[in-house]
Amino acid sequence: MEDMSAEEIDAMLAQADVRNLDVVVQKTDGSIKKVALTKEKIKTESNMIKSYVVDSNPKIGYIALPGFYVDADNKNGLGCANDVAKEIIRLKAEGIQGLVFDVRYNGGGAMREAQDLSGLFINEGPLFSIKDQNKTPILMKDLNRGTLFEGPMVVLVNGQSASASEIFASTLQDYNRAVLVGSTTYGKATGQSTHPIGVALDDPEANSRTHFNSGGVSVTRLKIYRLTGKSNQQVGLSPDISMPDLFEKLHVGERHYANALSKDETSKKPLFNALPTLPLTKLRESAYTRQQGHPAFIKLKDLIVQTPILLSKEKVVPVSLTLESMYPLVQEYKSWIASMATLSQTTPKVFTIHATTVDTQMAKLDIRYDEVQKQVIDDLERDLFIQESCHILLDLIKFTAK
Amino acid sequence: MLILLALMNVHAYAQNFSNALEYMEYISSYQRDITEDFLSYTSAVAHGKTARKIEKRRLELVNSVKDGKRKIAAMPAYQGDKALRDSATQYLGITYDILNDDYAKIVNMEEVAEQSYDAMEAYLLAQDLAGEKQDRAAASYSNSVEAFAKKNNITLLDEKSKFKQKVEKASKVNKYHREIYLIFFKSYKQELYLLDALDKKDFSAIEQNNNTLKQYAEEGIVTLAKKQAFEGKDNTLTQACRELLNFYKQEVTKTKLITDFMLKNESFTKLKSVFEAKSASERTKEDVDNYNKQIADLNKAVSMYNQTTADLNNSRSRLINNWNKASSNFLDNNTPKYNKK
Repeated sequence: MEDMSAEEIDAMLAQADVRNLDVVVQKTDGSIKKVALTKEKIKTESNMIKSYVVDSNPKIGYIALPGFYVDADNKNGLGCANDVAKEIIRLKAEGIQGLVFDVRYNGGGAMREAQDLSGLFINEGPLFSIKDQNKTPILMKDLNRGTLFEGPMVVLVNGQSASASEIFASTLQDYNRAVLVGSTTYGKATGQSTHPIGVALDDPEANSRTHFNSGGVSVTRLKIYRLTGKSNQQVGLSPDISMPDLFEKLHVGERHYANALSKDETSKKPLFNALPTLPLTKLRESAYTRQQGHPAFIKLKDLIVQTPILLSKEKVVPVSLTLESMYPLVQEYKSWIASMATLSQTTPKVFTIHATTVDTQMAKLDIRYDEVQKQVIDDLERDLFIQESCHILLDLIKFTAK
Repeated sequence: MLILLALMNVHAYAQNFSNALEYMEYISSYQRDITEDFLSYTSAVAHGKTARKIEKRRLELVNSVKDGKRKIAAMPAYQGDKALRDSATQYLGITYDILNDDYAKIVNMEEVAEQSYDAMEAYLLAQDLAGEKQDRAAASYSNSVEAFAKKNNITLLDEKSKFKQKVEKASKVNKYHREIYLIFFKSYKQELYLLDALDKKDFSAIEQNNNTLKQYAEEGIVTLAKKQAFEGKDNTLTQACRELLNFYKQEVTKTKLITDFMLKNESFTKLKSVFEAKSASERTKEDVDNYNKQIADLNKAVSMYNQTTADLNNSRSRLINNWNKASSNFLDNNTPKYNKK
């Protein structure tokens, strides 16, 4: 068969009796290539969270949380906080002295999971407050007394860390529990619930599966406030130590939506026992000196300046939809993407990272698991932001050592 | 609970008070009734009376306070002076609300809730704050009594009756018991949270509550070490409490073994599915040896887990029974007996 689209090839592979497919493709440079595709069953891990150990001195741990999910199959309503807890227990067994917690690109999720997760690192007390349409502020507190991990922490954020990520990060910032590193966050300090169409808002059966047959609507039900009474709405959360944001000129964030709710404050400012202040001035000095002289950070800043017209919202330029007009713009965009890929692939490694004992055992048994794990570790080791976060955390451990 | 004030030999008078002494004794007569009911109720609780009898005595006490407050509030001022009447009414009002657990009428429950971790803690904090308010009202009443007596040339007699001695002893027993009870309860409740978390396999809650249980048990043991035996001779309550707190400390260590097992079990389940998905011909010798080692480790861990859980359950049950017995024996042995005639 000839001149098949990607969708047609996909549909062919989806057929139950098709396991192997040889595809001949013509590349943009005119060359012809034969590609053999094989369909395999891949196991998806229900636990989306993996932890890693950075082989620094002292050892530190790294966890990335992609979303504040709830496990729909867990009869006790547990979710990501429980999974993170398990990973931290494993990391503690590996002897970590500090933790980098990554919530970049984490668009949020269940507020209760943000509460539960914050509680792992805070002994007890209020975490944040919410206000619904009744306008009576409600204080959200730590669900369990005690902590799971008390060592120094860095929380890594960026412009796409939103909602529950922002609640979690700002709570730790308010308690002086962690150093926030990265770029200003998204700025969504509101909470929504999904409601079926055609059902009253106060119907107790609203969330049963049958009611969603006619579709659903996401309804904004509440606003969220920090312990200081301030809100991250529209403005986002400012990190303690900044790093360049590659997507800065894309104008990603709540403040760029015309109908976004406004930022306001609440008079509810509960008493809470913050930890001693962190040595931020010293940490910043050390971090900015490193970034200024670092070739990859310099390159990153250049890439930000060179953000292609097709992506940049800084200056909206009218574009004619002709091949002559579009071709250079698309080439500019592709070249920028390629430069970004080159930067991430060629950033020299600084730290060696390894998986925990449990994951290493899995990799020994399963070739595919091993391949994926090796690739993930390679990406982590080359991630400029993770490298810098590890440097900051090691400085923090040094500056706060007793 | 009730704060006992200067007691006088009194009789009930009608509302026409011909002199200051009649006026004062009218109020005191109600105080006496309330104090007798309080002692009768406390005695019933301490000396193993039936729940029905205890409740009957509690209601008698509540009604005494209610009746006393109503009658005293209806008194006229004495020659324009209403301080004595008003301070007595205020004190009895707070006492009535405390007896009915109606703390919202006495303290700001919203503030209490914000300062408290959970509903039980809020209840205990509300009790403490209400008790402080009651103490202040009692002191105010006592001052009013002295001021009224001085103003009207009345000599107050400090009664040293057996009744008064019983009332003071009952208060002392209750105070001591409550202090030790709170030490016990803090760790006991924390353990309940831990057990609930283990049941749900909520690792976040398990670890946090386990660390807090260790902290509370250790703090409790330090506090108990400074506590004297009751009246220099009865240390049964502190002893029973100390044994339980030491058990909680051991439990904290064993919980770490339990969570290690739970995690190992979970990891093994994943490992097993990957191993079994591999065909026999694909498995290397290293795969098989490693898998067999995991099975052996897990079997050992299962036995340890079962034994540990059984031991903990048995010890817990024995020590809680021990505490309950020590608590009721302490009250029985030390609270004075009193039956209102």
